[in-house]
Amino acid sequence: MSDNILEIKNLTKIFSNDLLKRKQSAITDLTCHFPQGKCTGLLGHNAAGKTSTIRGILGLLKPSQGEILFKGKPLDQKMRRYIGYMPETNKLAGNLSPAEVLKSHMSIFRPPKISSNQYKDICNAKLKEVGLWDHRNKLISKLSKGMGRRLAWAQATIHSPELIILDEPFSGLDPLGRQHMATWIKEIKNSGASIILCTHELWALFNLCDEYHILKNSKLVYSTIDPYHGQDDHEPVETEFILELSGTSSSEIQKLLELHRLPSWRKYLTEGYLQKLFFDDWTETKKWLQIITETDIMVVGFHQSRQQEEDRILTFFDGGLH
Amino acid sequence: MKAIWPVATETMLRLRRDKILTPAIVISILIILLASVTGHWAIEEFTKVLFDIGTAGFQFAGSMVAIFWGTKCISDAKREGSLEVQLSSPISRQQWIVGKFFGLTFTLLLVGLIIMLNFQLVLIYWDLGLLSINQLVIFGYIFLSWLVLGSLAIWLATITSNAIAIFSSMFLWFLGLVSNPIANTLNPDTPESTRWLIETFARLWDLQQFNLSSFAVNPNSFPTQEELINLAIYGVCLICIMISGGSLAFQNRDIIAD
Repeated sequence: MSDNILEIKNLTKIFSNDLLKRKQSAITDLTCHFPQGKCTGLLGHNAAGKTSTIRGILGLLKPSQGEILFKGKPLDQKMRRYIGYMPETNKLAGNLSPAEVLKSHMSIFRPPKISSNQYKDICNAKLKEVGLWDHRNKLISKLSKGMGRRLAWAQATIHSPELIILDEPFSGLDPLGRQHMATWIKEIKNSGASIILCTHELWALFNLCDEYHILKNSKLVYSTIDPYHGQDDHEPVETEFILELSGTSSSEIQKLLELHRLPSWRKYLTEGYLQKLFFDDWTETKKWLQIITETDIMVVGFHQSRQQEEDRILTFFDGGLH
Repeated sequence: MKAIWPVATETMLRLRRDKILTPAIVISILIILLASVTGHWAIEEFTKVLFDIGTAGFQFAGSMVAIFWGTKCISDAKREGSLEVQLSSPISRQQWIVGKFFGLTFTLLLVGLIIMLNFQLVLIYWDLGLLSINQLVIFGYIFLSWLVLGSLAIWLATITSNAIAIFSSMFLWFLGLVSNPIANTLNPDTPESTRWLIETFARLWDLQQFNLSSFAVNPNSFPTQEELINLAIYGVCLICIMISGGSLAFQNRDIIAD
């Protein structure tokens, strides 16, 4: 039994764009893994090949080369029963109602051990869960974009898939909608489902994803699962710990360092009345915290920063993420 | 079949809510009402005029709707992107196309029944009684020609854009109506190769033979059972070819919503 829910091996997709058969590569020799029960991010700038990869997994694009394995077996039409898909934009039939869309979707997926009579109950429960119960009989064309995203989420998850592919799930959502979406993603992750999260947003990547792959110009350029992929001079990503202190000075901090033989910081900053100490290691930070709590110095902030990781990710994008 | 049914049901629901439905039914009803009025002005026998114009209206309105809906049920799914979601589910592309065709068939059947009911009411109004078996058969074969055109439109919509599919379907519909009359009235000086080409085309694509309205009031010359069966087989074969063509064309294409 494979530990990966999905494996992509040497996937290549070349489009012949026009009558002159000019060829354009959407994915080039992509090999990556998506671990079971984890949320794996798929990151990249526009036209990096993220959506083409997703379409390849879903069987919408015919690969020019390579293979896709689901739980160690070649992914076929029947196995797509275990996959849920939420597209980047709301791809819903405008002249149907949310209740009709979900019922039709359930009928196509036909989850095992669920009778047709139970479909209605499941659909109703899902509509309530995503807050569309009061709008269940309205035409989709009359719903707002945010409601459409909720329905797309409901459609992707109603058949309890083992793998959920989310293509930019936060696009077009207001802050509250984003919060709901993030909560739903966390909940479904905690239920044991595997998630592929295709996103531009670093906050989503850091808060929701366990692992991630970065695509650039149709190729995989970085992966946390296989961090040395294509990068011989790669440095491992580290988390940064920041201690924010008040009611003290840099000289007093220096004295503490020498007096208690505390580990030295990686970076020191003074911002107004705040003294900021940056550490690479949790045990070093812990020693400082223990000593400081015995003094009159106030700890006004302590948090982990993924700044280094963000910087690393941004280096893969010319001029940053689009 | 289990996978086809949800697609067919969804297609039927969507087409029933389409804006084309009401105008199409209104136009066909108006044509039948017009036929009942002009029947009294014409020199010909009233029943014959009523049937000629009535079935022509039935054929025209239904064929137009079949072409529009056949294209629409594919192109709308492409435009909205709902085909991406549906085809990423455990359903094959062939099943999806067949499901779309069945959905179209059921909705066209509904339209056909509404128009026939209206025609029946007109007949009752003029004391002409109920539709005879032969007259029902005439409507049945016109309905079969709708399905042929619907499947043609589905095929073309899978391989091309909405506008091109509609215009191509209409052009082929027109060719299907005139192919046999043209083949039968060729000039004796027509080159042999041209004659062969036109006659072969007329044999393969002749939609006018589904219109049996000329036999409506003359039961003695009505086609034999064998001829009717052959005509039905011809219609079903055309539908199968179109749907298979659509499925094959769709099979190896990359699915990207418009």
